[in-house]
Amino acid sequence: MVAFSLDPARTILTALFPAVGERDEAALAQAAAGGDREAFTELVRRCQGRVFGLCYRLVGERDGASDAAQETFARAFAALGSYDPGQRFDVWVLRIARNLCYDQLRRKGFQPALDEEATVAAVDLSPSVEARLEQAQAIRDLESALEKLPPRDREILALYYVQRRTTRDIAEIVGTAPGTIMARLFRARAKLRELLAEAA
Amino acid sequence: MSCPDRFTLFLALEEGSTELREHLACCERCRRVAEEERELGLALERLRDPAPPSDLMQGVWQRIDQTVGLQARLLRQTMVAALAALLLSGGLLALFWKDLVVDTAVDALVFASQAMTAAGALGNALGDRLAGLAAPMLAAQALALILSALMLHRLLAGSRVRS
Repeated sequence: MVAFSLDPARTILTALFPAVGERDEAALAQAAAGGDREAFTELVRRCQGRVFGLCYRLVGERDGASDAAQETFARAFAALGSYDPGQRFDVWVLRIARNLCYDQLRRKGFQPALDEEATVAAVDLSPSVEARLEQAQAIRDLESALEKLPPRDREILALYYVQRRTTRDIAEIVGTAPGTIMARLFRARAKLRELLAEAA
Repeated sequence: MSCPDRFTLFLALEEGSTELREHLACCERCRRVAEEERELGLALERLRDPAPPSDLMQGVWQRIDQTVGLQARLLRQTMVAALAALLLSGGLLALFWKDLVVDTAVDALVFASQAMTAAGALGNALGDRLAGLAAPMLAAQALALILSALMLHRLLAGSRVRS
């Protein structure tokens, strides 16, 4: 009997129409709520970068961010029954992550500094060595100024510029009106500019 | 367009306003401010989040399994404690107020029997739609009667031994 695999066809279909190859997050969340571990694993796989990124920006170090991200997903799993499929799953999880990080920060009563390793990964490798070093230094200065900002300013900048979220998504994650996001962003940028000027 | 304040200029830049673009073409001061804002935005967009640790997924499942295990353990412990409390209180009642217990058990038996009979009759009266319930109800009724009789027998036997 000739074995016939649908994989190549699926790959082509997925490339052309992503929705055909990948189950949407609402369907995965529904399956996960019914006890499908693979569905939840897939959801974690899709969102872990964004969740860890936000936790890192708020908590300020890798171990703490990893701990917060793991706890976020564990809580999300426990709360899957209350997840509204009409809502974006990653936005829902990011809101859990954000609240959890704020709880941690409140308990600790301080805001630790950000690791410098994140800056290295961000350097564009295409320009000349000199330009790369300059760019690396500029990013380090920026990261250093960012870490001095209050968490509320850090999160808004990280969500808007690093994760490229829309103001509507950000409003949902931080639990505020969409109309206030640009004003918060402007204030955070103004503070950042001051810090950069001081450092220079 | 007259010179906007910095916030208005920032919003217009983010929206890609053509009106602002026209203004910037003829206003050196605003052009400088817009350039500063644009540079800061570009610098921020170059930032990247660090990659999540490779064992994050494993940690997530460990936490979930721990929580589920803890919940199951708590449920088991609660059920054992409730059963123990029930047996203890039943034993104390039987020890000190055996007449009361026997009377209550007989009353409960009669009540359960009547309730089951009424439910069975109701089920039959409702016709075909609930006909499927009649057999389980009769079975439950028979089981309840047997259990009640056994309980009563043990209570009476216990009270005879003690007295």
